[in-house]
Amino acid sequence: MKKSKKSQKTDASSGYSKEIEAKRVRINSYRDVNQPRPFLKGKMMTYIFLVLFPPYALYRIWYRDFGFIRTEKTILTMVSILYIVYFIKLLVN
Amino acid sequence: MKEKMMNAMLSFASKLQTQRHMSAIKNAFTALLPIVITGSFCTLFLNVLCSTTTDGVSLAKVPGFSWLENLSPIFNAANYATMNFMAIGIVILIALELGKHYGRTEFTVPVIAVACYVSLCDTFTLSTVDGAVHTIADVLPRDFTNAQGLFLGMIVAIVSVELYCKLFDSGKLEIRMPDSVPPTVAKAFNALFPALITIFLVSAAGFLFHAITGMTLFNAVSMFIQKPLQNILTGLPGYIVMFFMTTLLWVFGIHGTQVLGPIYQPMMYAAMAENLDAAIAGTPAPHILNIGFVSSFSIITGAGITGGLIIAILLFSKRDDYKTIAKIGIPCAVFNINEPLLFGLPIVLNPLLMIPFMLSPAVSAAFAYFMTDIGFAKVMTIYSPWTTPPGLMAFLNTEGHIGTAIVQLLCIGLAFLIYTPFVLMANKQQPAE
Repeated sequence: MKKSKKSQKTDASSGYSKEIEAKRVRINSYRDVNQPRPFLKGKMMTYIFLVLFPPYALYRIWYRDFGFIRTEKTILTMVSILYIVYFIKLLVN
Repeated sequence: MKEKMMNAMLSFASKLQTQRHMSAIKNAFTALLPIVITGSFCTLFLNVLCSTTTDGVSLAKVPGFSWLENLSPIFNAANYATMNFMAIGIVILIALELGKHYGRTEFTVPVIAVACYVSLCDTFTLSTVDGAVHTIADVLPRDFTNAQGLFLGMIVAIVSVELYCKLFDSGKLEIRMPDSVPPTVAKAFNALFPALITIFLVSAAGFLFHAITGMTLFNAVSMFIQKPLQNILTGLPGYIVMFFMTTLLWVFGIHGTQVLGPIYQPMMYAAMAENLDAAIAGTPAPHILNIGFVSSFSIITGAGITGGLIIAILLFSKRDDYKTIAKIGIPCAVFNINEPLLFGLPIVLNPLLMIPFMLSPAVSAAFAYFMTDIGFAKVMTIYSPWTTPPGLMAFLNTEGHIGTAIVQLLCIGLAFLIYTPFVLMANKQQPAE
């Protein structure tokens, strides 16, 4: 009786361990397909041009294949346009 | 009992990781990261290269270099375009990301989200000229576009996209167009009523809230959600609990920083943006704990400050397996990556090493907080990439403050002291097969 109780406990424990291991593998192997990767080499150069010469940065964002996804293209374009407008305003004033 | 707890924790982490709103927030902040870093560095260049008015060291103050002041519009404009539009940026990004989950990839989705957000903002600002207060109409005050609006922006983006997608997918608001109408035009008309109703409902909710409580939604969210949460996370106890949770997830083999990032990142970014604003205005930075502090003192050389573990192993370990992995881990640790150690030693599910692994970031954060509080280290106003090597990172994040760089290196020293007894204990263990 005692032995069977012990074996039941071990079985439950091993079942838990398997479940935990499976969950751990699932969590770590989860890859979000939508996740941006902002620090690729070509992208980092683009960020520098965003400040130094935004039109060229826009060219790199939209016409060169540096791996910018749609979300990144949208936000970087917004920043470029704001930058150009504000820069011109500062120069005019 | 232990396994039950672990199982529950893994289920929670799994749900958090795949939860669509959390995923959208995480991806939005990842996309925003280079913009925040660009804005931070522009402030750094503005202050250390071009400024002749700030108190600190600036190259423009050196005779012969005063021409550098002429370059300040470049960095001013970059700072304006990046940091001052953080809230609008996050609304667009979350709307795009959440839209993807529902298969709505058209640009209508972020446009609706921005429209909803703007409908809740004041369109006037008060200005004092010669002691008299004037109301300037038809403007969008910067409080609504910068980091102060982050939290409301996140809420509005999520609510508006959910609402729009539900209305759109119901199909009841579809406008039937003749076959001769091009599909793109028909699609735009199909979005018309869901978009109108979404904007109207959000705007009406804002109006009703103001009418009932006498308070704008922006102020209410700021006062009752954003500020209390920010106070918890930018206060030392809350911060330590949060990073204790992060390392706890790591010891179960889960990327704790990624799982809990969406919870603490918005507050930390907002704190950094407020510090940046203060730096530009020449006033003291208000938040010791911000996103720069996180990468400088809590995840330096990797989560758990494993740089200290590498030194302890190289000095005191008698185990060849530990020494080999520690040597492999050195180049990675320089760039704050520690996966070789986490899964190589391993630290994950290792009852001995998990104790110092969870303890080190808490002690390091408390020590750095104290050193900043007494003025030996400086409050961070810049955010450099998390892969910047230790010492240099703190130096850059504080616009070139040597004391902070020393504190960062001391934190690794502290971690070394914490890890050493456990490395000595591990000497008595047999290497794993």
